[in-house]
Amino acid sequence: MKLRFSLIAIALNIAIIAALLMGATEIENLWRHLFNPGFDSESTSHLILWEIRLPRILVALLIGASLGLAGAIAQSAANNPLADPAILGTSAGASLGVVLGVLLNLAQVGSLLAVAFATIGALVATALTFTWARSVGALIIIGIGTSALFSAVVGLLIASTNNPEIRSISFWSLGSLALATSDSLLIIAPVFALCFYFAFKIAPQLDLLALGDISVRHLGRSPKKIRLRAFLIIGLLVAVSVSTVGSISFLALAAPHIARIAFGGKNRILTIASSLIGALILLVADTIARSALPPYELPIGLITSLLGAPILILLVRKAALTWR
Amino acid sequence: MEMIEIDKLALVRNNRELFSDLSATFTKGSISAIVGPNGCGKSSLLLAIAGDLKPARGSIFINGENLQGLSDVEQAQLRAMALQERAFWLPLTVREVLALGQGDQVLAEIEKVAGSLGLTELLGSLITTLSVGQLQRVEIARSLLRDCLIYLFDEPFAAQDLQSKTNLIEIFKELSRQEKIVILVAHSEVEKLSWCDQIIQLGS
Repeated sequence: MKLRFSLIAIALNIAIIAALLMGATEIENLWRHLFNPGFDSESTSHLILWEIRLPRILVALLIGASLGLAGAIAQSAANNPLADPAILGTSAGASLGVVLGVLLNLAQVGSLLAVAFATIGALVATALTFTWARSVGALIIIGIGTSALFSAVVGLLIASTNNPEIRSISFWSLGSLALATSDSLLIIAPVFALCFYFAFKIAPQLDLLALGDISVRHLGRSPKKIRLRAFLIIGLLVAVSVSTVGSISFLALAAPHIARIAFGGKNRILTIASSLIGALILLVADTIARSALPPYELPIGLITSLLGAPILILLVRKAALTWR
Repeated sequence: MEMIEIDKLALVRNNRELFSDLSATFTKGSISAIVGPNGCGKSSLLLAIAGDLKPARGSIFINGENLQGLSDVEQAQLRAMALQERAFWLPLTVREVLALGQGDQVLAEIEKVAGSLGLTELLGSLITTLSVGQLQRVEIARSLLRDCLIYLFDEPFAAQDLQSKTNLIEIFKELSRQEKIVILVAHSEVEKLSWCDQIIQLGS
């Protein structure tokens, strides 16, 4: 287990160094700028490193960790390997919240108000999925329905408006870390820290849900209450992520599975491992997205799928004998 | 007196009445088997005693108190139940599944209980690799790890070989010697249940 965590730590370090080095513009004296923040502070290199590249790396790490964590909680809470915030309707709800906020001229993409709108949307959509699903087994199919409903409304709203903010919304709806600024970090970092703390705290309760709802009740615990706590955390994580960088597909589904195959099914270890793996995949994906075809950026969601899917397929195939 | 009293119980599931006017008493130190044809409500009766299925009519009293008036926590302290079926997808080891939701003092008991059910060698195995019969014994082990008055077993013999069946009967007898109330749903013919103190026949 220590070896596996060490490997992820090494990979993260390499990814961070690569992300610092790669980009549309080459940064001169990178290391001097990095370790001596006062050095030549008026230069373009200083500006690019401190105002653009470093914040973006931190955003990639934190959003990746948020999505990895949200996915891990979603799968444990729904007791289903297919669950993720996109399937439960959480992401679509967050999107609708942001779009409504922007179109009503109440919020801008990436602002604190947009996060508030996204949170409300995410929680409403998730709550609807849970109210409509009469059993845990129905969660996935009802979630797909809720998600389709909210996504359709988002699409119709975007198609039927001539609001000038629409361009940023279209760009945002595909997902891009280019939208994030160092200000975004002021929202993303504390929310992730808070959610991680609570996720770690409720992890033993999430473990119980693997037994099925009846057995959880037989232990004197309420599966509904455990799930409610889990979905508040997921709602918040996804709201912040969707409102700052848009919908990033697949990561929340893949990261927990990769983490589970490497570290087992207990939720305490999974909250850490899934966060780290999510952070790693998103950072690598974003570095590729912004440096493969400079000055253009590739859509991040495509790269996360391109990176995450083969790892997931290979690992699940390898584990197929013991994981059914 | 520690006992379960069922008074004129009727159960309804999916708008169908399973049975009505069922009265029975389960005293401590007794083993009772619920038998009857498929769909007659054997498992539902067990779920009703476990507090998972509300009576359509009639009542269930545990130690003189109406089951409906007891909180989830109070019910949990009174009964442990081994369900018939269970599906796992998480890569948890058998030891991890046995320890889920159990107090720390129980962890030391895991080896003993696993041993009594022939699960010792499987403790480190992933739960997802077990056969149906092995899963069922893990489920039974989970209930045995809890210290309650009432033990409910839904078709504990369903996927077990002869050796495991004999073994389970000994475990149930031991529970009754410890003054517990043991109720199980059985599919076997009544004459094979002579080791039970009481047989509740449902359906015709």
